[in-house]
Amino acid sequence: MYEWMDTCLVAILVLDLYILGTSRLIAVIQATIVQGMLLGILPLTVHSQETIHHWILSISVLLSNVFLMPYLAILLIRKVEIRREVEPFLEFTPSLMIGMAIAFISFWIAPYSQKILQLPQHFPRMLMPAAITTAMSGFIILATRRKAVTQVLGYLVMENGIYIWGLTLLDKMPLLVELGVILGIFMTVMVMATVCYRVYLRLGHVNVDELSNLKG
Amino acid sequence: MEIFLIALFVLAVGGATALACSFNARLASWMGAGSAVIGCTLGLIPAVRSLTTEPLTWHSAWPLPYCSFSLKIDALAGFFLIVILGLSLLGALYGGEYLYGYARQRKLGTPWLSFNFLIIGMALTVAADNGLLFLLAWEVMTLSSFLLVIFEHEQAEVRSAGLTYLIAAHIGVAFLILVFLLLSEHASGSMDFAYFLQIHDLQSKTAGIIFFFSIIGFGTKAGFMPFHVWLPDAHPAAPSHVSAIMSGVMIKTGIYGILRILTFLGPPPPWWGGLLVNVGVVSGVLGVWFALAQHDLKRLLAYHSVENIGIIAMGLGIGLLGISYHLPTIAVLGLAGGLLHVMNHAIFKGLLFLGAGAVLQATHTREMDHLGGVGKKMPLTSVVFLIGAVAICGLPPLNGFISEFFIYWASFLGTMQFADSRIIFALAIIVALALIGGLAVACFSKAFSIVFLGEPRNQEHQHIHDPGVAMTIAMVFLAAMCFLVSILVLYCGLPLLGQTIHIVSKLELQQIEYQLAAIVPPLKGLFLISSVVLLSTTFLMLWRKYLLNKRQVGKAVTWDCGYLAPNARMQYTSSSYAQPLVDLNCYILRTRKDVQKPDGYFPQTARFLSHTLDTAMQKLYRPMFEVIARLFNKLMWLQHGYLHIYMLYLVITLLSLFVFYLGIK
Amino acid sequence: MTWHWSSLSVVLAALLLSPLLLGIIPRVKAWFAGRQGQPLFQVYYDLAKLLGKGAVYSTTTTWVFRLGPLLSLSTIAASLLLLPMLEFPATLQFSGDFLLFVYLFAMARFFAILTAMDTGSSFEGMGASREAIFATLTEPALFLSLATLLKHNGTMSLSEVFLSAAPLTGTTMILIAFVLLIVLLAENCRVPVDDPTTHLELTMIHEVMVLDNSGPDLAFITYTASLKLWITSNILAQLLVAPFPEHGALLRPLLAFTTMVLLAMLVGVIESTIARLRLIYVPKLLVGASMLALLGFTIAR
Repeated sequence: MYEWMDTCLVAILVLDLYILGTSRLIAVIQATIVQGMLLGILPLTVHSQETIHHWILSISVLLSNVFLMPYLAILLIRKVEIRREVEPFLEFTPSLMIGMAIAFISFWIAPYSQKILQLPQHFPRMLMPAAITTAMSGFIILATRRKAVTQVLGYLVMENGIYIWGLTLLDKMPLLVELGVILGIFMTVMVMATVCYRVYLRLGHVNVDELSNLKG
Repeated sequence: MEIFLIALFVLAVGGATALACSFNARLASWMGAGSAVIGCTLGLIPAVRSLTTEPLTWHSAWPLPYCSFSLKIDALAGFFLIVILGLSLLGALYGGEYLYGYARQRKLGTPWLSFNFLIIGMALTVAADNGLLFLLAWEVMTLSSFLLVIFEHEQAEVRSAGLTYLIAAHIGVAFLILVFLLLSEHASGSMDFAYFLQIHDLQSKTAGIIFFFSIIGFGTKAGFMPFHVWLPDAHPAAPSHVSAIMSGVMIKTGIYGILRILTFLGPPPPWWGGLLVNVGVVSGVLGVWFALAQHDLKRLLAYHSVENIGIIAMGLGIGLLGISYHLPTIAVLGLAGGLLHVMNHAIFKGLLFLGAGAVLQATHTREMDHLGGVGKKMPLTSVVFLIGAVAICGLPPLNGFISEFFIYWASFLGTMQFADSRIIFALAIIVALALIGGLAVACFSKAFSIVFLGEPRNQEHQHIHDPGVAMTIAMVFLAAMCFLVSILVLYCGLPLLGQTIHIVSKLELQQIEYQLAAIVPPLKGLFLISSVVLLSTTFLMLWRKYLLNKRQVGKAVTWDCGYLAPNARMQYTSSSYAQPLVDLNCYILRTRKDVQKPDGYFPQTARFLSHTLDTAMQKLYRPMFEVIARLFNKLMWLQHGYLHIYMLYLVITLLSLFVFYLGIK
Repeated sequence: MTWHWSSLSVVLAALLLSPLLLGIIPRVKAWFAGRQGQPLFQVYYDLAKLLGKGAVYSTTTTWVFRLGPLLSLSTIAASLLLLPMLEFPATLQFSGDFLLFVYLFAMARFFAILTAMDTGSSFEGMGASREAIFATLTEPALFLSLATLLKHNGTMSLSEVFLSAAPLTGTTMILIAFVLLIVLLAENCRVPVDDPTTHLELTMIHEVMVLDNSGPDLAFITYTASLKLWITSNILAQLLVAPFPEHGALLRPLLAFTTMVLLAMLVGVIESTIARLRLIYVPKLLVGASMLALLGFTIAR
């Protein structure tokens, strides 16, 4: 019943690992685009009869996650001339392993959290782990990478995770809230991108750890 | 049982005689080695007998409080005794010749006395049926091995290694004393194991504490990470045959202790097995990784002991999990794998240390990067070392493969039979064993090829040769055992392991027999495949000989890319061989590098030094002991150097204790 | 322990056909480069030529150097007996045969490394060192894939995994197949792990390890390489073919063999289109493969 959905979610999980393991920024962006597409399909696989609710969600996600935000990110890395993340605080292979460990643990705790949240019994098995792993991967990127651009992408991935999480509550949560979240993230990305560009123009780099030099 | 006591007596008297004969090195060697050989042979008789018959016991009163001179050799003790005495016998044989090489420099009486008492200590530890006797024997074992570690005590690093060992051993003993006190509290105040066995009212919390303490206490001796810090220092410092015994069997008394305590504690809850698996995975993977980073041959072997103890812990851990979840197949296979690895590790690690000793005696260096090309001068040593290396890597058809096979099998069954989240233990073992397998291959291909293959890196090593008869016999015998263990398991697997597993797991003997029978087809398959490999290798060899018969077979130098003046020091060294794998784990290994790069068009000097210290020592114990030292420094005002003030302290202490005692009453 | 004597014919087929498989890859690469390419049977010609030549041995080398190629070849050849091939059960089948199978590979590798180190050359040392590290990292991926397959079929024997009535399908199968493809590329020293066409400093792995071997020894080594390619692609092919519905006794082996040929062509395509990874990135690829296998294990029902 949930076969297509589970396949999509596994693909999203694999993309998380890919994003964690790669240093090339353009590859990360491509991965988030694919992830965005999968996320767009996801609401349509939730229930057998789609409502307008699902379609709106699907199209808005496709618009923002597949077109707008990656476009901004690509624009940004062109402007600031960065092609790969260098010397992150946590190397790529360990962060990959931590990501997998989180996935493994989330598979373990998923049944418990389903019970706590009183979700239906025949719930898509992969949904909870994929949500947790995606959100945490985004967080790992946010916390351990040096370039502000990568951090923007980290936000994006984290939002994807929250979005998957939101799918579990699709019937209960008003559409407006979900759209609000997406809009909020979109604004964040835009502001960050602008700030990054300004910082780059001023300092010639976008290394976040050196921003502390700006203190008075 | 009387034979066992006679054996101990022979060992003690022989040691004392050797001490008395210190003035004559030859006589001391003969007395020490001879008595050790005779004693071990005698001791093996009851040990072998105990595997199949009823436990042998001996009881006599002893005036010490809580103590009685009770001995009991059941199958569990018998199994460990066979391993201990078997390797000690060969070690003594080897040592007779090896130590004699030091005859010019020092007296040999004390080492032989300590050696014999080390054997007595280990044998008594395993055979003791009383807590206090166990601790006493444990102490004899620790002190005698300490004396052997500081054999070359004029070197500062040897002294510091000995001191580390002594301190670590006694921190371990502190936990053991707690373990036995807690047990005796529940056994109506008696220290006899017979009473311990009747404990039934143990709360799960108390049992957990006892188990945890015994993991720390015995784990310190066994060398579990992070309690292993003494091991890589002490093992290389001792004479090689003693290293073989310390690494091969002495640390196994820790494993024996854990198993013995387990028999007192009733059915294990799952977290015990889980803890052992965790400890095993950490020790196994990190042990071999640290080993890879070493360039001292004996230190490398010492770290491999940590790894193998890890494998043993994994086997026992998955076995315990099997017991906890009532999965007898996993229980039997895991325990059998762990126990078998105890024996196998004794065989191949003994062999490797003896081989390393032969190289050390010939070349006077343990530094691998100063050796090279030894295989041409010492062909026999190189062959037996290679056999040991193949065995320790767990490659078929040698013994290392068989015990790892058991543990793998139990874990793969675990991935199918464990409930949801417990699978992670089975998976962890599989991944760890796979990693260990690969790393061990890397490590021993390095150790063997840097030492025995290639060209000599030091020109002084032109006139070295294989060791004499006694050392050769010991090494060849162990090398043969590497092949024979698989046959032993196939035909005597049940008598060897059945009773022992029964004691630890409390499963029915028929059940164990049934489960162990499952190993027969794979073993036969292993034999068949090995013979196919042997036959086809022979065929290929003959074919090549036929092909090359009338053709030109040239001799040339190794292809050097047209370079004009190659020399032996340009060969790949052990640190360069290991560098990629070591760098991969730089977070934990923390290898220190001292680099001076070549500079300019005509560089004059350039150098590169790499050194991997023990991270647990550097980051955990050293800071901890520094804090302790700082605290105790604050008590320096108590110390004056006047004897009468010290007397005063004594009186004050006694008085306050007296008052305290009265207060309690 | 079960014997399937009829499977000996497949073992024979493997011994005869494996150089053909190795010959396909350069041909595909030649197509990509717009060249005619070497004949499909070139590896057979090479083997015949090498077997007909004399040999040169370095004065540094010992008996290890002479034994190594023989032992590697015979262990790999013996592992053919344990492997179900072309939808036939293995000649010799018992519980736990997969462990022996994997460790026979490790044995062959151990002696290949020693052979290389015996020459005392730092080039060959470099190759041996890299071979050791990549093999170490490949092994967990292989074992995790095997664990997934074994768990799915509830068995401890390779033959029952690949001839199962309810084979692995769906997402998990794709993941495991991808992992096994990476294992195949790593085990056979192919791009993106190693470049089999050169032995320059940057790619010093497998080709550089055999620099000093000549004559029949080199023939044995080449033949071992072809057997390894046959074995690894056979495993992957059987995994991919398994979900197809039953089609009679002859069609399925043919299907499996076709898949193997396609896999060899795929390797050729990969070699033509992808650049070799920098050495420091190879561990990332292999660890990533292990992680994917772990994911596969986790989501397998």
